Amino acid sequence: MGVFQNKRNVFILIFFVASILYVLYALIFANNEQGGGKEVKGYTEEEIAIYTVKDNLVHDYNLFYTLEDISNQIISALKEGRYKEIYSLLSSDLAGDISKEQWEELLKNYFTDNFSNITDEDGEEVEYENSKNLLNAYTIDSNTYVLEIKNNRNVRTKIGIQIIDSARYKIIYFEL
Amino acid sequence: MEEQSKNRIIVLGLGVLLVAFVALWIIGNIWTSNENTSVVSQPSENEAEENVTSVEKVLGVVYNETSGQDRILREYFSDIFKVLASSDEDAIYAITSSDYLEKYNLNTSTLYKKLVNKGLVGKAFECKKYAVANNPRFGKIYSLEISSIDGSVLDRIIVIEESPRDYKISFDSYVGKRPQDISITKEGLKLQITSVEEFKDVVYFKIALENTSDNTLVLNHDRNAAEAIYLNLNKSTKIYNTKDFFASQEIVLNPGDRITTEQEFFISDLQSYKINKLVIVNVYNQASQTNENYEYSIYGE
Repeated sequence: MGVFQNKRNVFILIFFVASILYVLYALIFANNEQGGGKEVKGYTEEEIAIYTVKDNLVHDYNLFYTLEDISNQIISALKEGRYKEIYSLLSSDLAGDISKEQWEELLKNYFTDNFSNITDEDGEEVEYENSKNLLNAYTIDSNTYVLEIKNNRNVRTKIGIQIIDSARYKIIYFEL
Repeated sequence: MEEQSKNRIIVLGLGVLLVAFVALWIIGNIWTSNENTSVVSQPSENEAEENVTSVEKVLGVVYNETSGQDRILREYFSDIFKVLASSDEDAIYAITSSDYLEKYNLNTSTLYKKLVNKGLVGKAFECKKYAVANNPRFGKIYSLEISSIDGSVLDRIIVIEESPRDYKISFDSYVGKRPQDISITKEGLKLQITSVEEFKDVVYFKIALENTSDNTLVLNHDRNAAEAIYLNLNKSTKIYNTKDFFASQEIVLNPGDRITTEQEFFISDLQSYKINKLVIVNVYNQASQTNENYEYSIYGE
């Protein structure tokens, strides 16, 4: 091709492609360190405490049961040791700089502390019942909620979630 | 020269094609990686269903408008009737409203005895009928008409729900008592509401009236005590006080004077959420020698 015999044309082509790719990189990757999907902010314990007040209680039964389905899914994944799946649901802020392996360890401990079977006073093993365990749900904004879940010792533990769209959500807070 | 600009156009065209290809490849990769990041099931095929928010469609589960309430009621019936049938004093005490316990000065055993006397303990019950109302002071109020399976006992249980699954029950048609912090001054007459107590068909307001003006004000100037105070429900309906607090007498409030009273109004629990105004009828101002109704917007317009 005679076009490429001119060094100047080759230089223009390389410069043009490089510039456009750089702009694409800046637009897509620089704003999304996880490499895709919507970036979701995590929440701190202090922020969660601000929202878990009476005024923010979810009253709508249908929404409440939908949120309970989500909490049940998370608990089932923990029970079955599907930590990688849970990790993929963490918001970018929540996942932070902690490695996937470290997160798996954290989630194992979280499961043991909250949803594993425990031994009662008589030495009998009591199975954690994964039903009717959503005690309260609080609204942070129109698609972000805090779920207050009864754990294996009848103590409340909180999980924050953000609905991304009709099929996906992210976990924004774990009370680890 | 012409050849050179032709070449430049070809180079730029190739560049644009290359960039478009790379961009498509990147977007494609992002798309597929997104689909793999969630453990959530895909929504059902009927996701285009109208009036369903995206939140409700998560997990492919769609609850219609009434299914949530039906489901929560089934939970409540099951839990409450199980506790009553169990004869477990502690469990009965635990689900009973603290307002009810305080009102009738009950502890675990006196509550149990009271319910045994009413025939509400150790029997299987079913709900015959229920009514539900949103009450701005208490939350959602369910009034359940219950019957023992053998038909020997008919009674009513009030369920006071603050949020789903967060509820207490009470008996004797008692809803509860809430402190109020309402203070409104209108043309020199200050109204304070310090508490409201509600039964299924009656509401009691504890109120104080204080003359903060420099003039003498006279309450119940026309001595028609039965119509001295009324509540407005949604602007149109008037519910007059039923306790003859004024005893057909004028009450003279000199500057700085204050009176307190409890006023009773017959309002059904299904209507009480509509209360918006409290009106003091015919307040006579001695200085201007005029009669006026004083309207106080106690729960919004």
